[in-house]
Parts: sequence; C-alpha cells; structure tokens
Amino acid sequence: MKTAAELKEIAQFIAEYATRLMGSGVHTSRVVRNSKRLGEALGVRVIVSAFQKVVTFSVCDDDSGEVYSEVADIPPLPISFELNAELSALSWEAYDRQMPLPEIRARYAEIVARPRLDPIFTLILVGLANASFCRLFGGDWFAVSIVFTATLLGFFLRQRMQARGFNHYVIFIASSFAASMYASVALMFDTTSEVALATSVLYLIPGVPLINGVIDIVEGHVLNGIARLTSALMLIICIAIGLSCTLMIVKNGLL
Amino acid sequence: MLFEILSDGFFAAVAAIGFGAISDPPMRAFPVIALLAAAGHALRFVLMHNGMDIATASLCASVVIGVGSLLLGGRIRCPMTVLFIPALLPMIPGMYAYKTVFAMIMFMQHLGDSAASTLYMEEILRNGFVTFCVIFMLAAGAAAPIFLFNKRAHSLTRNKKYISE
Amino acid sequence: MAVFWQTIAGYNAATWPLQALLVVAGIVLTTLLYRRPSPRVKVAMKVYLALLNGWIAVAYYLRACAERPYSEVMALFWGVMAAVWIYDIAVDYTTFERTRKHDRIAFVFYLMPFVYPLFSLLRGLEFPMVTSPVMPCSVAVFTIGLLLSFSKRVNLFVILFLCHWALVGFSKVYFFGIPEDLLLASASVPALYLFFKEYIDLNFHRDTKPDLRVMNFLLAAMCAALGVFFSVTIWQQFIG
Repeated sequence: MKTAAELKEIAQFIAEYATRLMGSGVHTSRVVRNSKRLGEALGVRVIVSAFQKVVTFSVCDDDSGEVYSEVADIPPLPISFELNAELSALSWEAYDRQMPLPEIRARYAEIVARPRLDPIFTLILVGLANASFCRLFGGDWFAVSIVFTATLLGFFLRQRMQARGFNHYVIFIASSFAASMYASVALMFDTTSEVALATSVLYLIPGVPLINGVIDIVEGHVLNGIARLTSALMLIICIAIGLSCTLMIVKNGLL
Repeated sequence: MLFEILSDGFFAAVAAIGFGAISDPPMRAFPVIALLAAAGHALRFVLMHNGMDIATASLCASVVIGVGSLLLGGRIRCPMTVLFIPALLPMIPGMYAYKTVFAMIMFMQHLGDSAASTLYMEEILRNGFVTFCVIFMLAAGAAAPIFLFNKRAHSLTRNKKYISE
Repeated sequence: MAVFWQTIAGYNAATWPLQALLVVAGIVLTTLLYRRPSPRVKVAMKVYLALLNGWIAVAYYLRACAERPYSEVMALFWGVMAAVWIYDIAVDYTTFERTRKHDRIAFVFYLMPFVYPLFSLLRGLEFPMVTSPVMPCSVAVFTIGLLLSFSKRVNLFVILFLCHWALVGFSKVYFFGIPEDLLLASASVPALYLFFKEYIDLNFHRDTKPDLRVMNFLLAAMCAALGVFFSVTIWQQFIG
C-alpha cells in the first residue's frame, strides 16, 4: 500500500527519468520498458504514453486502486549514449536489488552529473572520422587531408552555434555549407575533389534518429517512429541545402 | 587483397569512433564500436568485391553488426543501439547521396533542355533509390536481432548475477 | 603554373608601396604589443589583422588574381577571416595576453614572412615575380606566430582555418611546384600541436571524460598522422 504522497513522489521521479531518456535520444520502447521496470521495482504499475515532445504517465497502486497521473515535457537534450546505457542499467539494478526510492534517486543524480565528452576531443575524432570516410570512398590522401581540416572547421562552427543556442536547422545548413565550402578548395587541384565534397558534410548525418525511427516503427510506436524519421529527414534536407549552396557556387568546376 | 581488406576495416573503425563520439557513448564502448564497424565494413567490402550488390551486402554486414552488438553488449553492459548505431554510420552511402543532390541541382539548371533534364531525372531516381535502400537495409538488418532475440536484447544492461532465473 | 606566377608578379608590381606600408605597420604594432600592451594597441592590432585579411581578399584575390580559377572562393574565405576579426573586436574575445611559453617558436614564425621572398630569390626568381610578405601564406604564418605568443585565449576558428590553409598550400607545393609553401605547411603542425596542448593543459584532469592520457594520445596520433603525410609526400616528390 502506498500513500498518495508516496505515489506522487514515485510518479515525479519516473517522469524525470523517462523524459531524460527520451530527450537523450533513446528509442521509445526502451523508455517505456525501463519506466515500467523501475515502477515494478518500486511496487507500482506504470503506464506510459510517449510522444515527440511530451510524455504522460499513470502510476497505479494495484493494492489500493489509487492512480496518480503526471504529464511532463521532454527537454531538448543532446544525444547521450552514456545516459542510455547507465540509466538502463540503473533500472535493472533497481529491479534486481529492490532499491528504495531515495537510493535510486541518488544514483540517478550521480549518473546525470557525469561529464560529457570534451568538445575538443570530439572535434578531433570527428575530423579523423570524416577523413577516413573520405578514404573509404576512394579519395586520395590530399582529398583526405582537406576533408580533415574542412570537417574541423564545419564541426567547430556547429559546436559554437549549438552552444549559442541557434535553431537546429540553421546550424545544419550553416555547418554543412561551411564544411563543403572549405572542402571545395580540393577543386583547385588534380585530386578526387568530388569525393572530398561529398564526404565533407557526412559528419552531420543524423544517424541516431534515423535508426531509432525505424526501430520505433517496427516495435509498434509508429507515430513516434514517423515523427523521428520526419525530423531526421528535415535535418538531411538541411544538409542538402547547405551542400547545394556550395555546389551552386563551384559547380562550374565540377562539370 | 588482404591489405585492402585490413585498411578498409581500419578506416571504418576510425570513422565509427568519430561518429560515435558525437553521441557521447561511454568510454568502454569505443573498442567494441571500432571492432564491429571494422568487421561489418570489411565484410561488405569483400561481398561487394565478389559481385554482390550494395544493398544486399549492406544487409549482410548490418546483420553481422547487429548480432555482434548483441553478443558483446552483455559483456560491457551497453544496450545494442549504443553499439550498432555508430558502427553502421561508416556504411552510409555518401557518394550516392551526394550524386542525388548534385543531379537535383543540375536538373533545376537544365529545365528547358528536355534531353538533359531527363538524364538528370534518371540520375536522381537511380542514386536516390540506392541511397534509400541501403539506409533502410542498414537500419533493418542491425535492428533485426532486437526482435529475434527479444529477451536477451532487453537485458544486456542487467547484472549477470540475476539473469539465470 | 605560369598564371600563378604572372598574377603574383602583377600584384607585386602594382602594390609594392602599399605592401611595404602594411609590413611596416605590422612591425610597429607587433613591437608595441610586446612593449606596451595597452587596450588601445590590442584593438589596433585586431583592426590591423582585419584590414590585412580584407586586403588579401580584395587586393590579392579579387583584383590581382582574378584570372585564376576559384579566386572568388578564396576571396570569400579571407573575407570571412576579416569578418571574424571584426567580430572579435565587437565581442572582445581575443585578449592578446602574453604567455611567454612559445616565445622562441613565435619569433621564428615572425621571421617567416621575410623568409618567403628570400626563398624565392634563392631559387633564382626575380622581383616582381617573387613571393612577398603580404600574401596569404605569409599572413597566415604571421597570424599563427602572433597567436602562439599570446595564446592565453585564442579563437580556435582562426587557427583551424589557418591550418586548413596550410594544407591547401601544401597541396600547391605538390601539384603546382611552389616549394615556398612548404614553410607554412611545416610550421602548421607544431603550431596545431601547441594550441591543442595549451587547451588540454588548461581543461583536462582526471575527472574529465576522457582522461588526460587518452587526450594526449589522440593529439599525438593526429599530429603524427599529419607529419607522416607531409614527409611521405615530400619524399615522393623530391627524392622518389
């Protein structure tokens, strides 16, 4: 038996947990599953319905028949696989060890407070990644090196703009334009410049929402899946717009 | 040939690590991501070298990556998606996507010239379709093990002690 | 690459008095920045850098090098750099605070713009068909040196752009046979290393993700890869 206050406390914690997961780019069925598991650990039944921007919960205590509902906004957080892994593990641990709510809450706070990957570390890795991507598509070493620095510039711009809180679409257009523009210097030389241009923007591909969208659709969360795919498609269109701006400027060199 | 396969795997691994880093994975996931990406991309390289088309080869490679993430995910307590999404990204058909965009622009520039615009329209359709197919195959192939081995896939982050009930 | 040298000759012949003026202004401002770093001098330095980058964009690329393909794109790049410096004045980002850590290498970099014409003369070229101190690559090397010397808080975008430029210059060495640009290319790798190293020393400790060791390893790997690429290419071109 839970008192109404306890029920409310549980519902609020689960709401925070689930919105944090949804915001960090976890596919819907995992969020639902984790929340239910967490609820079971705390001795309540949780019913979740998740949308793109908001999640609604009902927390039921089957012994007393008491129900408490909560609606929570999904914050627009950066994608974090680390939170995905650690918070999923937390739900299992709570379930297996029957942890009490204060302990779960403390662990949750500790996990959420962990630092993200350092931006400069990410920057260098992304540059190297895009450069090796260029190599995979058959670019020669000059194209590879030009893509490397062009990606550094484009991704740096994206990071700075994100830190300033620019609109998502504007960021994607601007950084894909910048990266492809800086990569277009490859056209001056007798090198695989087409490959360089094509790969310079690929670091922007929104892989997580694309694949999450497919998983969501297959697992029955069709609405969410389509919403994710649509937003991913919008971002891809933005990449294409940025790339097109570059191509319009330099297309004479490509024909 | 062996050198080519190895270098293909190596560059795929670097690419996967970098694209993974954007999504902030746990540090312990990096070696597994690199391994999966290298294995998947090298497999696709070999298959395509032996005459298989890009969509089917991608499907095979992504199934391997999916199964691999299922097998290795339990060991480092990471969900499958954390491992296979970055590992799939090096297989994105970037050149086809680029050619689609380029053909779209050229189509717009040659609206008046019906012969040229037909040619570019064909380019758009051909490249766009390949891009779409490959991406779909990648997502579907890697996600397939989640649905096939439902129970195991859902308890990767669970402590091993409690699984054997 | 006849067009390349012709445009340079035209540029030098037409603008050498102005170039000399720019060089003198640069020397004066740099000395002032070392001797009496007042806020006014710092703003003047930024104005000078904006002017210099704008000059490269307009006078060099748009006017003198109009015959070359892609000169408009290059002008756009340098115009963006000028805009970045104007933006810097507006938000007062770069502090030009001296760190004294890299003074020696910075002075080597300051000399580079004057080594460029010497290098050309040594190769047997004659004025006006020589590289001069007010050309994209010399300007890039000068800016890198200046930022190294005052590396407390630098705009990373500028550094990344200049390294990008160094790579372009390096490709010019290979494809167009302009060995002068080797100077910038070989300078860019240690500079890139030092800038990132500075950032790492400031921001990384044991609790960051990833830890210091991994980050240092990544930086070393990146610089090693660039170094290997440069040396293998040079070796192939001049010896192989």
